[in-house]
Amino acid sequence: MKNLRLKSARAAKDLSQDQLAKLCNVSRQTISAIEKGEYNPTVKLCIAICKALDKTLDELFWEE
Amino acid sequence: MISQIIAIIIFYGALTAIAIMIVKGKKSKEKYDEMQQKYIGNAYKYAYSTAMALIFGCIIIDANVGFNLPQYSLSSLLVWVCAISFSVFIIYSIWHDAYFLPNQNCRNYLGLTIGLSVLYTVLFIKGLMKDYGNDLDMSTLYEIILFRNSTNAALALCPALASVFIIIKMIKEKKEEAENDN
Repeated sequence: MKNLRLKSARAAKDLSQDQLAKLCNVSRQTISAIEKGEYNPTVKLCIAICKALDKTLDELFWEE
Repeated sequence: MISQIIAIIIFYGALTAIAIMIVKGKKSKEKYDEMQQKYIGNAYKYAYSTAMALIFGCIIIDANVGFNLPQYSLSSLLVWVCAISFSVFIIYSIWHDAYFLPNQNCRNYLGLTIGLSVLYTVLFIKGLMKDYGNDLDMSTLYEIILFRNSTNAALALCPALASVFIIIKMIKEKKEEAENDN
């Protein structure tokens, strides 16, 4: 399942996948895979993404 | 007695070297992110399974000729086992972007892989041409040409496959970047 909330939060911060990847210390492909729903990140990476985007875990990763 | 002691020293030396390599390997893996590490692990698993299956195939081939396969044929088969398993490893890793450092482009490896594949292809053709000039009967043809030259072919195949997959990956990445820009 695609993570559109992550994609829109990244776009709202005006960050490219590459820039977000650098902030989280991962590869661009990992961010791309998370957005496409192809990779299920660990809590550690989820927290790093949330911190980089100033969002909470619920806002970005909690399924509704 | 002395040779046995040397053999034991070599054995434990090899074990220590492997242990050091594993520890250093763990440290170098820290450079890769969690998704890459997951895929590198999968790539090792598939390469190991492939190697096991191919070695089993080699044993069957050897048994088929009464465990009398010439030594150079056996070494050549083992080179093929290594080349195919390594190809499985690199293709899987490249396909899942697992063997490039974070934010590094796979393009950096293209020159090296093309260079290696060209080098071994030249060696393979050179070997074939050298053997083709000799008068060989069918059995020598089978043993010498098929096995000796196939070693260079196996070594050329591995980087050639890597080059092809890096090029495909680069095209795919360009498309992906264009989609992200839209």
